[in-house]
Amino acid sequence: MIYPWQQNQWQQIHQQIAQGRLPHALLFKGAEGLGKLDFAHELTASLLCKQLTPSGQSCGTCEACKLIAAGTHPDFLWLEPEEDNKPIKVDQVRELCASLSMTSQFGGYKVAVIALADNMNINAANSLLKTLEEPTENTVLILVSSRPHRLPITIRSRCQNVLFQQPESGVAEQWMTENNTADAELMLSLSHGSPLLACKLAASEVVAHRKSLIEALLGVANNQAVTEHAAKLSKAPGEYLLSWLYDWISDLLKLHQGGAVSRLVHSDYQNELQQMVAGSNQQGLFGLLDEVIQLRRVQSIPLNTQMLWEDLLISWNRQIKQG
Amino acid sequence: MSYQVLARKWRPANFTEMVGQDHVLRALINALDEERLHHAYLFTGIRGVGKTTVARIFAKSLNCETGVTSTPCGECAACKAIAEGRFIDLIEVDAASRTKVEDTRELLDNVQYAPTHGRFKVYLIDEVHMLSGHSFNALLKTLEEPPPHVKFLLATTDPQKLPVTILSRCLQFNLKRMPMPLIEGHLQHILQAEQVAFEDQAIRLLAHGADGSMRDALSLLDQAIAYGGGKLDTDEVQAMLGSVSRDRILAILNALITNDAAAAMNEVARLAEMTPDYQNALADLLALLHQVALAQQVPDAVDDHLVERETIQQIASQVSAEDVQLFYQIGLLGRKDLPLAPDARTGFEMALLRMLAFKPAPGQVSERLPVQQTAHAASAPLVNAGEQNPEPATEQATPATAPVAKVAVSDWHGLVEAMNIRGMVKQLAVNCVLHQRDGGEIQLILNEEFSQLLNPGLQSKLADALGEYLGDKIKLQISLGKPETESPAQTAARNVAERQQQAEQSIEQDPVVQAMKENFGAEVVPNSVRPID
Amino acid sequence: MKFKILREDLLVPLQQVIGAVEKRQTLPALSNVLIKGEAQGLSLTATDLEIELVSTVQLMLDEPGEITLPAKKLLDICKSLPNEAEISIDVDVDRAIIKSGRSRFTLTTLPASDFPALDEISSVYEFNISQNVLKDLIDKTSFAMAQQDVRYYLNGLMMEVSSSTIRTVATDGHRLAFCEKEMDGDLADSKQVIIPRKGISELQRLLADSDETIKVILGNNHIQCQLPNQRFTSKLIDGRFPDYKRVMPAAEGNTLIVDRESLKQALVRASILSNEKYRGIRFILSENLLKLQAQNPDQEEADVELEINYSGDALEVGFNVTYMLDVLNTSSREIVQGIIKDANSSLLLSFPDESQARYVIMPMRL
Repeated sequence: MIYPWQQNQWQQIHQQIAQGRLPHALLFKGAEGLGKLDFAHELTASLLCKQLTPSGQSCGTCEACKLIAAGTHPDFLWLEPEEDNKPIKVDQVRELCASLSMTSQFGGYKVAVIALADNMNINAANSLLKTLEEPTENTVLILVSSRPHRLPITIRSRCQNVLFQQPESGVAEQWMTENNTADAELMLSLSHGSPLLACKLAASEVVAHRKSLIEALLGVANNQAVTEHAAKLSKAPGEYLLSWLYDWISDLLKLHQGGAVSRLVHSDYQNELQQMVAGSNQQGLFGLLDEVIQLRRVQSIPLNTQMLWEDLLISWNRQIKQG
Repeated sequence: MSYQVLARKWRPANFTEMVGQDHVLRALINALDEERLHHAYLFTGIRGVGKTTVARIFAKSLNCETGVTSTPCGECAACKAIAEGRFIDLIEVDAASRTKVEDTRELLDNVQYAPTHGRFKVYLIDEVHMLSGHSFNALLKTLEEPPPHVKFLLATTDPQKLPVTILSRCLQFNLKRMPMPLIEGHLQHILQAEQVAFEDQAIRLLAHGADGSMRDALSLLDQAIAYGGGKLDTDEVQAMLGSVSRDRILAILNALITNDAAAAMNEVARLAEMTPDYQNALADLLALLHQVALAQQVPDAVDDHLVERETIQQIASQVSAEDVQLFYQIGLLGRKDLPLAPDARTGFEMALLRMLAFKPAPGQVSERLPVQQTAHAASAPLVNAGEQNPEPATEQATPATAPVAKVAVSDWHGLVEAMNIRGMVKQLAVNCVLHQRDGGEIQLILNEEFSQLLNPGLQSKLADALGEYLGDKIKLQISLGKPETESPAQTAARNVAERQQQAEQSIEQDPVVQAMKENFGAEVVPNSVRPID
Repeated sequence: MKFKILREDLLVPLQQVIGAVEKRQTLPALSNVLIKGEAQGLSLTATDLEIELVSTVQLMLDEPGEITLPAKKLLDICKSLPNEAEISIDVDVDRAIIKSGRSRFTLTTLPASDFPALDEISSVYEFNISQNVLKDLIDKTSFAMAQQDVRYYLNGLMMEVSSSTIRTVATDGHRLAFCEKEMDGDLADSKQVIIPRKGISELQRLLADSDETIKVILGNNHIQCQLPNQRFTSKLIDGRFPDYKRVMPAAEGNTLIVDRESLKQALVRASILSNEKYRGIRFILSENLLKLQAQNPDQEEADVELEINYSGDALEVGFNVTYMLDVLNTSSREIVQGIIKDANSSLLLSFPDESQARYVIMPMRL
């Protein structure tokens, strides 16, 4: 599927196909929730489809399209971690490379999509290098990553990059409204402009945890004890909370310097944020921001979350009382 | 036939087609011409500067049917087969797909056999640093006593990871980053051959974006040709690279030096309309700051080609050297942190706001310091603001300054509690055990489950905290391992478990509870017992 | 789709195609067998995306149609039924009812359109060849194929057809096996394909020792063999095979003639004390005498002498004993001939009574 905000990329690639200049290695990069994988899927379908529509999209009805939909097209290889949150292993990549050393079954392109490419462990990534640089004829490799900086530079250097960006808010909101998402504006804001994440968020329970976070931040600022708040937060998904905490601090920092009030993430709490500005210390807030960044860096490891949240809330309490 | 990307199409087939790396080529050509051949060569350098290409040409030189030569004919069966990737005596391996010892052994077992077609059996092992320790040993054995018909060509982007025993047995050639003019020249040459019209500035942008790698340059060129519909013009290349016109970055810099946060945020909003790559935008800002610093300190060194030379010089006269240094430092750290911001734009904005937040208030720096002094000051770690939480003013009475009884280092658990550390630093500390202390040198072992905590930033903060607490300069070493003794974190976890057990026991043994169980069939709700603090 | 069939009529084709059903299949559709019922009869198709097997059986269907059914379960059901039992299969939308006697099974189905069956492959060249000739070509050479080699073009068997010959060649870089047979063809140039290892072992299983002729179709992407009631198709390795002619030494030099069986036994004896990993044995050739020497890392030694027919230079050269034995095992001829130029060159082996196969073994450093 091609989303409204992917038109440029789509035309770009189709121009390359039309000119006979489609490279054998592409890297789709950009934030999570922009539909990069759907784009890769549709691009693959359009490369394998036997009856393209006039606009260059797959027909969805030919034999090839049916097999793609069933996940059994022999010339379409899809690689992703075998288990969630696990790396893509070297054996998976080796198998992929072995498959690509064979001729195509239907005589056209052989397409391999590596989803979550940055999840390849270092051995896996390195064992892809030869194939990525010099695959057999009519092979197209599409790497998809929302954290391309994690890919070894030797991988990136072998690919043509296609950058996906957050759509303008108008485009995204309209699309969300068409898809019956409630609170489109707020959800989009809390998802940093990624429409698919915003839809997912609107449909999930996670957003309730933001309320706990903000209650904790407001409460602790009023000298409530940190322990209970920390206990509650330690049970919530840390990934979301840390990102929203980052936003909370950056919202405050933006207000601090008096500019760009229009672009707050937690815009529904603008008044509360505004009131805090006077009582907070900018440099201290940056210090707290660094703690959050540090935590985001090591997120995947099992730490004592209760203790971490206590620490974070204590730091917060310190910063907000100063001034 | 599918499209062959330029990097493949234009891969040099012989030494004369190579661009740059003269120092390496000269040595290799001499060795070949005089037939003074070593049995193992190591080619190092960043990605895309020609390591594999040199190695393949060298393989041709060794096996060309005209004889060992620095000018392989390109016509004979051996040269052709190598070019087509089907020369049976050239064994090109990814070290990564051969990291298991058995694999490497299997590979190396085969060095015993004479070459089937050529003069030499050539093993080209790419990214050789990926071999495991055992595999290195297997390789080492072969390198010690190689059969005369075997040549090893090793290549890596990361030579630091190679054992010294391997390094010492190889002739090492370091391929250099490609300088911009060489890249530009080569791109022009290719464009002329491909009959694609181009603007010089567009080429310059591509060469800049390639960051020292010819392959990157050619990948970008491929993309630019497609993007521009068969020609290369500056605006389109700029858009493609996600690079922002210098004017926009200059506007941001202007907002920074006039200390106008609102203006800076507005400039970011204008920038956002162009969907830039914020990593690149920050890099461009850093490059400008670099030019400004140059203009301040070595005015002659400012790049003559710079269009905005005068603007830069003007900025240089308006801003203090300390501020430039500060902005630069914060910008550098901002680049590192950018991927960890929830979205790149916010990360970019935070970097800008941080520059302003840490800029000394106008009254604070009395006058502009003479340039020489500031240059000196700049080399010192002027600002750690980006990385560290500067000690907030309220924390005056920290344990370190109060004359309290010191906890000895040997009591690591006690020490961890007594020190003024928290957050990630504390997480690091509580998951370590003390291995050894030798004067100012403390060695810790970090439970390997928490290896991700081991980073230089945290380690140096812990070292500082230890130093502060012990009143001594501390050299801290942390290694990974399975500690034999309990770490503070494990002790804490065990204490919690033990106290829980005690609490449950005392409830079970409590006469009232027992009576209720017996008389009323009462049950203790599992997991509801909590120890009282 | 609806039909009745005799147990054996279903069991045999199922067993024929089951080899292509991948065991660790992650895609459900590929652990199924495609069953197509048409006017001419029933066809069963299985694939692992690398090879495809089709078996056909003549049958009058009550109702034509096509569907896929879980292959392994269907096979187990057929096996479990008594001989000569009549099976009736009735396919509903997403269920298939299988009945026989007083047993009844309901199997899940997947639509035929999910199944990646090949229609027709684009043919570049077709020829007819008898099964036993093709089988012999493969049996005599396939042992020398490489296994999971980085030079991926070596992980298969090269087949080359030209106007008058068909050749098979395999090599792993240390040895090469070559076999050539005459064939009536009308191809102006020669055509080369590399058949992957998996396809080769499946073909070896399929081909019978009969001189019945089958049709072979070579395409740009496939090789297809049409056997009676069966069709085998395999993808090819997408690469170019090394120039094997460069590897084959000229048939001139020091020549030894030796009894195959006694050489084999001598090699087996000496190999007991060869290095288990390298399997190297020293061949010391002198006037009518071959001395085999082996030594293992524990410094244990074996010395075996053998009378041969040899009048060339005195030579000393090392070979992998396994590679020698592999060659000797391809033939049941009495005499084997070896030609070697000098101590650094490869050994060319052949069986004089059977000139079609030739083998090259590279010397090794001991």
